[in-house]
Amino acid sequence: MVNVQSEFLTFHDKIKLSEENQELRDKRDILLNKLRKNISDEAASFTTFNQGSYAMGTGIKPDDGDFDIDVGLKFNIDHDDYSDPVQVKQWVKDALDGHTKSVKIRRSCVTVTYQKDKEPIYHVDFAVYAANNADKQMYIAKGKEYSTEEYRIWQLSDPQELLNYLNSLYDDSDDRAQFRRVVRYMKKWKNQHFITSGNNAPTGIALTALACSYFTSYYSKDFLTNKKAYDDFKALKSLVNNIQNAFNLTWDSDDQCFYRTITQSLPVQPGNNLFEKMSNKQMNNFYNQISAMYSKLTEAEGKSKKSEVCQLMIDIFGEAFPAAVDRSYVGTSESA
Amino acid sequence: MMEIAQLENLIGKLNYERHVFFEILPKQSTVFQGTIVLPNEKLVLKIDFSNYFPLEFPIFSIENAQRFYPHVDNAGKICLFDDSSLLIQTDMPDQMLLDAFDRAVDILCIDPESYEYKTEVAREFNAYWAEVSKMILYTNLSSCMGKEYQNLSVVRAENRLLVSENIMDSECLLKNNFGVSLERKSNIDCLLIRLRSFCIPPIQKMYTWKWLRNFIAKNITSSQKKAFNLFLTGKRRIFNQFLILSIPSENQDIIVSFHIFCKNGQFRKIEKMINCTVTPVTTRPIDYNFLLKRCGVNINLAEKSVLLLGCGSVGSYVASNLCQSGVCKLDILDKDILSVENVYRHLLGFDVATKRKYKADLVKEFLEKQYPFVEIDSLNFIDRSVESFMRDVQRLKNYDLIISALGEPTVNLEINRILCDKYINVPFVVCFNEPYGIGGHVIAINNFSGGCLRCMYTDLISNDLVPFRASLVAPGQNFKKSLSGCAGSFVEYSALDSQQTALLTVRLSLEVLTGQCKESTLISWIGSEDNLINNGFEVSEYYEHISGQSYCSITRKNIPINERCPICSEKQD
Repeated sequence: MVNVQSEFLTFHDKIKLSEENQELRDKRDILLNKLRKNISDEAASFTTFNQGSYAMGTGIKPDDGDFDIDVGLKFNIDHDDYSDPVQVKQWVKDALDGHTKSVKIRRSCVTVTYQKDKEPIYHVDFAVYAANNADKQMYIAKGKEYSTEEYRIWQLSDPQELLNYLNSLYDDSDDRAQFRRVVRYMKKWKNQHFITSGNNAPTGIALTALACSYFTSYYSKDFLTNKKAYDDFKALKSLVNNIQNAFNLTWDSDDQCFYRTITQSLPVQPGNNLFEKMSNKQMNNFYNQISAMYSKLTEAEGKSKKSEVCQLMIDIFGEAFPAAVDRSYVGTSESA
Repeated sequence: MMEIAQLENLIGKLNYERHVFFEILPKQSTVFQGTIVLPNEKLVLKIDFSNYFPLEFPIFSIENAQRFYPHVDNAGKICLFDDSSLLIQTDMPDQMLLDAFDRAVDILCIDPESYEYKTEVAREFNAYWAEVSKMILYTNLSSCMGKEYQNLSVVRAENRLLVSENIMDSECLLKNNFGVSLERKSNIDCLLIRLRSFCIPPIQKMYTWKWLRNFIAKNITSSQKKAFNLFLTGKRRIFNQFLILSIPSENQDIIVSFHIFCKNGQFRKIEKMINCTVTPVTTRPIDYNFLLKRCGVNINLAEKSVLLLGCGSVGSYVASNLCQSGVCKLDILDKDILSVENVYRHLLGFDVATKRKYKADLVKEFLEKQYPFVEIDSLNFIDRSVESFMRDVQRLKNYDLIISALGEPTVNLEINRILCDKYINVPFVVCFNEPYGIGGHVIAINNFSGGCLRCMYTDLISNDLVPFRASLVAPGQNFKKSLSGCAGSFVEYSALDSQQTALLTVRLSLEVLTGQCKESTLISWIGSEDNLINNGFEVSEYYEHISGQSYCSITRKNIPINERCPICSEKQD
């Protein structure tokens, strides 16, 4: 096996959605200012926080250029006092309406789509929470403007808990950084190999949760510096192998065959199965893609030329992964 | 120097404190004289302040010594202290005088029958004998020491006298190390006799042959006496003889030698020779054990055989340091010719560089001349290349240590591979400089304990070949400079860098040879980055990690097995 760590890091730099992306921050801040300014007097007070992959440091740049930011709005209310969660979401929508062409209440958030001529599309998802409840828990407002009552619910949810959980998994921040890189690789792979419409592809949060369950950090310690030399290839291969092994055979009575299926619960509240929306067949396709990736990774491990390994990585991740040129020598500074 | 009045004041205090009476000598204003009463004798003692007192202790001396006193030289001067080992409180001249006086009395009071006397005499006698003797005889007799009675032959050439166990050894030393011609050499009989017990010859203005043979006869065993008597009955017309007496003492024998010469008109028995000239002779040992003694050398090194690959800037100093450390058997392989542009970074200088000869031959010539007993083979067969030499890998087994100062990692790694693959358990030391004085490294590979050289060139997460992992410069930089085309390209570093690397190399090599270092070990010296940076280059992450504590620090680490190393991982399987 050859060392392609520097290629992985180059690849990572190319795909990651930087937490320091000033443009996204500016868009978010403009909207938050507007929200604060325009929100009606009858609305409760709120605080904001970043959530989603952007906050967790597992975001990648979208292939279609549609950047998104997830912002949490913690309203200082008890959910018991507001039987209709859509009413609270409406405060947000009303305040932002007219800012762009499209402000929509969606099931889990209020989405503002932001676009200027020839500029990339951005959308900001505002998730609305009741944060001052008798049970000290957080509840997210679910439901659309025209949903029936059964879909208008307050659901137990604390997105910040997921970030805390993630941080608690690894003491070493460098190990956490490798976790985040590998999650990003998985997301990039997903974009390459799945049709993203509908529930064909596993969601980003599902891949992140799988990594929470199955990721192991891989590195060698340098006796000279005592520093860790991270091996993202190995960490990725191990994760892929573990995910592959997490599938079970399930009899599908509709299609009259066995499918490989998987369950993965969100490691924090509400702990729901993140694959519940995928059909058995879709999960089976996910399994096949995971297996194909594992085969490529195994093949790469047997290669002795960097160019060949990188070509296999390009097959997995697309052209964002750098190609390499082989050399029969390395430089030296030795003389006597 | 102090004023007379001050000196008189000091002497007054001495007289008062020690109940003595010293007074100034009329014609010597800085010398005081008095008589001291010792348990068995009365002695006249002089105290001379004519030196740099109080930066030095005053000079004490006795007159007309009737016997040998340790620490007292031929002229009667008492060696009070080894000034160079003392820090003197020069603002206390009165106390200095008292201390010096007390020390002089202590020395003169040493009982000739006591253990202390014997040890002191052993320590001092050679110096004393050197003063009274008129001839110098070089001896290379470590193999003869302790023998009771032995006939030897002194070789004389160009007024140099040298005795070894055999004539050939003497001739080699005279020619190679003294640089004398053997064209008009002659041999003189020499008898080595070890006396029965400690017995120092009395101090005499003149020694006679009669006195000497009686002194020997009285102090040897009956079996020695038999042989000595037989010698005495031999007949000579010209009696030209050296006698080396080895006197048993506490730590080592004291050597007292004489030369006896007598020319007669007819043959006479040796014991009947009259009118012989008996001359005290100073022996000056030049044998390996003696010469290396003050170096604190492990004598076993003489038997160790070392192969040195490369005797360029680092290697030539390695060779020299190895020889000075007592390594006697050294093979040097180097295919380069010493040229004038090398001289400011090489052990050898301009005069030999103009000869256009192989470095290995020149280094051999130089070191064998400097250090007796060193035998260097400059391996001047085939094409002198390491590659040819290693075609027969069995050759490597002949050594106790292989040192590479080639600065060629590809060749070094090949040697490492051969040693590992063929299970050749010979330690391998690799050394090299890094550019612009940023540092240097020594790596000792003990193949059966720790990592191999390839471990240091293997990536941490793959088996990729990578530049030396402890390198102090960032990878991917080209340090080669050229003033005269590819053939004359070089990397900039100084002779000091090479000597620093060579010193560490030899220190570690000696540890390996004496079994003190059994693990694979890396020693690096870390210099300043300034020159490197000023020349537009970058330091490595490792340098950033390791530097900063102090300029020119030295780090030492055991080299663990790198699990990715293709050689060690195979070994473990």
